[in-house]
Amino acid sequence: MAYSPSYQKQKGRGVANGGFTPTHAYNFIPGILNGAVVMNAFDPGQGFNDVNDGGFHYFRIEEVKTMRYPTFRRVGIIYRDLGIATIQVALSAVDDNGQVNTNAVAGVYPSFTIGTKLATGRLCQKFLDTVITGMLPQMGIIRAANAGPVSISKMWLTTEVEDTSF
Amino acid sequence: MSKNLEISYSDFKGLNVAAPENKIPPEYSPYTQNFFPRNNELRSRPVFRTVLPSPNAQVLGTAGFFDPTGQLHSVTLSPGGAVTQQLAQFTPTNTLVYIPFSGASSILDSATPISWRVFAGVLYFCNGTNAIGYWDGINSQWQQLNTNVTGAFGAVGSVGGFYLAESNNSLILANTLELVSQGAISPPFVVASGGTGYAIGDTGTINGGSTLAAYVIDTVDGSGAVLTFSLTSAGLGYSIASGIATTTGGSQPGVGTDFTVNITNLATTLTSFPYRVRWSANGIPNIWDPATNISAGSNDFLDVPDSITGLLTMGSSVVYIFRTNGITEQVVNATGSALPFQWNHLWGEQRGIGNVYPGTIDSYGSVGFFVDFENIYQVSVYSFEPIGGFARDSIMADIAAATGFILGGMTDQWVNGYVYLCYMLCIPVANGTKFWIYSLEDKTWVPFFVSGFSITCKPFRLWTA
Repeated sequence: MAYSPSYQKQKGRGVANGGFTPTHAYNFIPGILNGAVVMNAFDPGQGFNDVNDGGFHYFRIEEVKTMRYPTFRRVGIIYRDLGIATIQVALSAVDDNGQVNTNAVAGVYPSFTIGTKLATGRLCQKFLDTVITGMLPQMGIIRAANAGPVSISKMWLTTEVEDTSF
Repeated sequence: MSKNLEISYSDFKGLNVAAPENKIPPEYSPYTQNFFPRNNELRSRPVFRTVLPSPNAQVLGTAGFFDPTGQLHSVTLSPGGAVTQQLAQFTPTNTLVYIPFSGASSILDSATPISWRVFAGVLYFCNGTNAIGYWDGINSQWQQLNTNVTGAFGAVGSVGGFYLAESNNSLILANTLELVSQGAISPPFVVASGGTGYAIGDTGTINGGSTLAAYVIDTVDGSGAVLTFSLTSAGLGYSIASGIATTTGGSQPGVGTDFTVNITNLATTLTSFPYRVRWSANGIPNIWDPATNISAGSNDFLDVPDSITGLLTMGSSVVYIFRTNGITEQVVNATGSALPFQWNHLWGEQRGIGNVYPGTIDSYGSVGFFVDFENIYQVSVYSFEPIGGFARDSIMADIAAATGFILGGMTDQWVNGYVYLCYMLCIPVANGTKFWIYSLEDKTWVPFFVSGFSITCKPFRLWTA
């Protein structure tokens, strides 16, 4: 929809040199991209799947229960279907020697594939079975460049933990 | 006996590095990049894409304004390019058309970010030279504004500077660059005649510097004590201040062998006045000389120890003048008088809260932002609030690693219909640019990183066709 300036064109004040009726706005961020001058913008209108840069988001480190050594076996996600995307789930924990364990297999974290081609925009839910054992667990998600648009409403880790007192 | 345990995360916020990872609230992240909270969801960052054709040289300023006919213009300023391609405007088909400069050579610096202000439908801009450019959206060319002064604070010629604003119908210029006269050459020069004395019609030369002026004797009085002369060829770079010279001796009675003249050097030196504020005459942006209109003038902040690093206006009457280690409040004193403003240094110590990175100042209505040595501050009317919060240490670490100008800008809509009111602090670092996004609604920070990109101009929302 065209933007409507709050006042009308003035008469008898000359003729404008150019100009236009505004229809779109962008938050321009001019710069040099790989050697070329560009007028760029972060454009949510073109989606949330940047093809050049990935991202990551880690959650806090959890204190599950003092002196316990839990094993987490499942990760859940409630996401908004913005299209097909792949998210790696990075879990880590430590043992009492300070060794860091992860759920990576051969250096690769297990991943979700979420969303549909239709990109319905509806909230959806999915589970991923992956295992991490240790204290102070931490979960993170990693989205590779061009891995699809991601919008998460909720994530969780589940386990059973021994509740008997020592 | 065991029980089920579920650890969940939702209602997402931004980065928190102000506490150990096990002490932060679950909605925060100790380590994140290219994700951001949006209506309590956690989203991957939007596509970073090229929207419009780009000018031929790097863009140091973007601006949008309604001209006096009511037509909207969106322009880019690229002072490093050819003079005829420095100002470009978007067209109805979203191409670029260049508006040529009326002069032969550029009046803009090729590397300094542009500071601009729209006043009465005219776009004014400067970037660290002794000139201000302007374009009214009607003329076929953009032009240099008449900012000439004649002797005010020693300046002779056009004045310009780094920062431009408007207050109470005057353009405000801060951290100025001015041409300063070199003054009289002293002592008065002695012109020797070679011992034969002077007579009407004699010619000779006066050496006032690097070049000579030629003269001819017009009159010699009866005693020879006084003579007058005319210049037949003026020396470059200086003027003869007195056309009547007095003989200083001579071998012939009544006729001197030499005479003295006062010579004024016309050469000027481009001089920085980092502590100076100038303002145009009230309502007349092309008069800056107080000798022409007393409501134009200037003021030197000699009572504070630092330099001016930016301007931020709050309404029509208040200008915050930022210094490296302080802030000065400029308010209206007596409109149209010789002292139209008054200044209050909120503090003027050797160290204190000020704007360290000139390009980081930006405002949106009654809210502004700037970056100090120890925090990022939000400015409201008569208040300054540190907002670095849980992310301050990470932001400061990136600032310390900056490889170029740090720039900050307010954004309201990222694109049509996508409102995300935030302050975007842009830090060029190795291999790309880091964007720290501060949400004014959530009061949290998240970092974006764009690889291979080097920012040259602060973010600004512009309209296109």
